[in-house]
Amino acid sequence: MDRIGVSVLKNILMLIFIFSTSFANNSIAVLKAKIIKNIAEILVKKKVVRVYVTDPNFYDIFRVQNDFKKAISPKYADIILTNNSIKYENLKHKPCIISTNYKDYKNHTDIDWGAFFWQKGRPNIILNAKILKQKHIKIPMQYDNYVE
Amino acid sequence: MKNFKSPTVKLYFFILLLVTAGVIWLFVNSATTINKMDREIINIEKIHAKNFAENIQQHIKNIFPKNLVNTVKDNPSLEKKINSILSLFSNEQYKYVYVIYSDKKGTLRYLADGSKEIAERGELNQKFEPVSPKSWKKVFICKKPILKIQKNISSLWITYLYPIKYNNSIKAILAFDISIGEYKNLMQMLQPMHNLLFILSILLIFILAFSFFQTFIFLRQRKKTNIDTLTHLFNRNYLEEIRKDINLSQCAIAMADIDHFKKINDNFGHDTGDIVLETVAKRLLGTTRTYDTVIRYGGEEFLIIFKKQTDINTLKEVSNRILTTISKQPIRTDEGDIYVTLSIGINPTPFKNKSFQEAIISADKMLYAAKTGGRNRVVILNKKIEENSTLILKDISKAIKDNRLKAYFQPILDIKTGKIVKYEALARIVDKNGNIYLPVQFLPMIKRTTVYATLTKFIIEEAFKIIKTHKISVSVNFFIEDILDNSIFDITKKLIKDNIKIADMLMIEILEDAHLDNISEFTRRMEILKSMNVKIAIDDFGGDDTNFNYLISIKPNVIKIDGSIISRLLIDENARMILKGIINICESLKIDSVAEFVESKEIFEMLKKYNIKMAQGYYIGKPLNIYSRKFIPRVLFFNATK
Repeated sequence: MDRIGVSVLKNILMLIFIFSTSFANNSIAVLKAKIIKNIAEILVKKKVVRVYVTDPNFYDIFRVQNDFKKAISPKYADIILTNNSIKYENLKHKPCIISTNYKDYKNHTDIDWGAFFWQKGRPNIILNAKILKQKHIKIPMQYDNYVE
Repeated sequence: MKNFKSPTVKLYFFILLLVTAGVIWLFVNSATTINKMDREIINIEKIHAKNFAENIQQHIKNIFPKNLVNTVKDNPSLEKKINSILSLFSNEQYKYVYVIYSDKKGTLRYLADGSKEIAERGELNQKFEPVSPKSWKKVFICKKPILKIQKNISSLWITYLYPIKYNNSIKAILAFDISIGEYKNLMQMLQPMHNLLFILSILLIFILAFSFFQTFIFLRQRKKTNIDTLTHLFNRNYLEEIRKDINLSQCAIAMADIDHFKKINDNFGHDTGDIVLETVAKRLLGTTRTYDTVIRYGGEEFLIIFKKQTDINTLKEVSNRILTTISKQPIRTDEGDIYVTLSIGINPTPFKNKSFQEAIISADKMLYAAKTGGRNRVVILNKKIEENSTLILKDISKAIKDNRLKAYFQPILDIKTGKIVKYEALARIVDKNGNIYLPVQFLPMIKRTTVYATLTKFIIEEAFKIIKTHKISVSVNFFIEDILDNSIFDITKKLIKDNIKIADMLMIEILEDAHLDNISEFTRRMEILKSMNVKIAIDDFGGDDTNFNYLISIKPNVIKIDGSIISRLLIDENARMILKGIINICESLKIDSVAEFVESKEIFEMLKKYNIKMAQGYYIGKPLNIYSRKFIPRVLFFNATK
């Protein structure tokens, strides 16, 4: 009966669904932004975070999250989201570099604080244990699973 | 609003309920069908996936007959080999085919991945983060495949998890994600059905909305037609609607009438009369109980249907409360405060009557008794009254059938010539024992019934018989409401038309007994009758209900002076002065006058001193049946010495 109920609801909400599909893309952007915000809270500990993005897949986070400020240059960024970490190795202020590609992360575990990428439609988060230790960053218990 | 639920409304709501049930049924049914199809598709997919997984497992086992996980972990170069095998199975439908193992800590990691896109391909030992880890753990524990519908991953429809066993021990999970495109393809085939159901649903919702709208319109219209605009009480249309639903065994019926209402209208005008009607209606609603129904039955007449507790004591209590509320408080009008009283007749046992109409007549009879008993009182029908009551409707109908309805004729004398110049036709009913009943004893019971129309027809026909046979003028009594009653008016018109050559010898006597709401229609109808040469008389002029306005509006040929003036001529100077005045008016307007109630020689002699044209009364002659031997149609010379 529950299933029938759900289907009845589906029928009734058909019109709503038509409208809601136009917001589907938005929901992924919101999810991305939420995850980045959580990462930023742990790693950067700033209320308003300046984010520098080079991976076009992450441009949309600025559209849905007000706590982010788009950094015009990596020099002013608190977090850099990139699939080419090596480029930002020598930045003096040593921002938090999050790789958006697993291979890139694997190759630059000395630079990348972590990785956040999409694979098979699923979000993947890795927090670099070595860097965290270097930076003396303590991770809340619930994020332990992501530390590698 | 105190009301009954009419059958039409019940039917309307029943239809609405039916349509609503239909819509719900269609929704549930279509939802169930879609659901069933969904499950069926998933079941088919499950079988396909299982076959597919077994096939892959067979391939893997052929190449890695020993523990796959340990073999690959020990020799990472084998990763490519197994990846290429898995990629053979990967296609548009089976988007990602991969093998996951669980490390010592229970973390899920990639062992191999056949994904064609490099970005989507997991590397050996790369951590795998499932959306629902519980399902994965369940496969390791239960050792059985699991099919998981992906609700949170937009590009995927199903993830199938198949345990890879070596010696009945699970070493890894073969997983593959089925693309949402597959589901969309299947759904596309069902799209016409989906569309049809959708259109049907929209159509039914529209019908439902339309039905609700229609019901709203109907109820609003019904309210308009069933509610009296002045008093906001129910009207007779409403009574007609609920008549069949009234359970006579569970109610009492009362007729109430505002005393001397006509005088209020005549003295203060119709606007004030309307305020009185409105106020009385409000007070009636305020003093009756919530489950009682108050209906404006006629001009100033109200019908009250008392429901539930209809014992005599409760009825007395309620009706006395009504009388007190109405009579004790003045009605504020622009003309000043007006006190009105009400007379109420109650029939507490309507179930004893054959029909609702008879029950009303019975209550009306009690109202008549309340009026004649002095007004401002309640008369409740009881056994004693019932026994003393004159005739009931069925007796009257039977009397007409048995030819016991008789027309009596009372002579009218021309005082100067001493000749009988007219007769007044009067209805009488003779019972089986020969007792004669006067109109006051049976007319209230038959008013507004077909019997009343039959009686009117009979009297007019009898009048024309006398006119034809004896060539003498005959007058017939009509109440104002008779003229306004379509059926009575039509019968009268037809009979006059049938006897048009002698119509000038028929006189219609108008009795003023009720408040006249529609004076223009009444005047119009009187004009029609006059145009057919019929003579018009105003009866009981100078009595309680006298309205001088009729002298102007209907221009009568004759005025019959009320018996209350004539009978006091010998003892009351004022009566003589009033008579003089009326005679002067008649002379000025060239209207003939008739003195009624001439019951003694003394009165007759006195009348001779006044310039009064005609006289009528027991002294002149009693009403007689035309078949009576004493009936002499034309007395040439009246024997004044008798």
